[in-house]
Amino acid sequence: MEIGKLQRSYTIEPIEDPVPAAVEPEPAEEQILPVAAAETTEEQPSQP
Amino acid sequence: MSVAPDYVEPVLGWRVWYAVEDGGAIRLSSIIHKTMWPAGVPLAATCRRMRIPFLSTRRHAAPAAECRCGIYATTPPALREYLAVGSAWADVVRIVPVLGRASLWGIVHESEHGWRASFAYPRELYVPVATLRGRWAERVVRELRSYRVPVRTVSGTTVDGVLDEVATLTALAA
Repeated sequence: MEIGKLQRSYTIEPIEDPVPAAVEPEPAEEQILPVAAAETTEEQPSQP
Repeated sequence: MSVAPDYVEPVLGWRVWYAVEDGGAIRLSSIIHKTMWPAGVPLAATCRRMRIPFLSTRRHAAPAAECRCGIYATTPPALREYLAVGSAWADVVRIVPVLGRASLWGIVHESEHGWRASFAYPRELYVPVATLRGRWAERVVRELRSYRVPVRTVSGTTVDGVLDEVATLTALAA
């Protein structure tokens, strides 16, 4: 590619990334399932 | 100690690429050298002259002012010539010329009609689809979206028609 004579040189450090960020897929709606009443399964400490 | 950059906004320059199949996906390729432009990460320049024995030159970071290396972009008037080249090849093999603007940054050498830079990434793409079959055109546009930049179709049937349409679209988007 012919772009002619060099005019000037400089450095560029973009503040914003020129590469677009990947679009995060929207999180699926949390499914709310009916939950049965929990039963306590913890062992009770034995009485002395 | 790091050196402060001169600018913090990338230069926007025009280019013509080929859209080609690469590993089962459509990607952008440079038209002079067969450099594939990765999707999602910047293209980093390297000097090809250092790999050619009879042109051997001292090692340098690309682009070097005294070399011709770097990632090129130009101004719209200079684009006409390269779009014409691309269109001629497109009739022979299954490649699609694509116009667009690219962000350039890093070390940038500015010339009369364009720039050479050390990093680049597409900013927006325009696909001339008038001579493409429907499904092929759809696939090219769909897969170029993997660059996560706007991909627009243009329907001009001549180089001038395509350039005029792109100029109009660019002005509307500004």
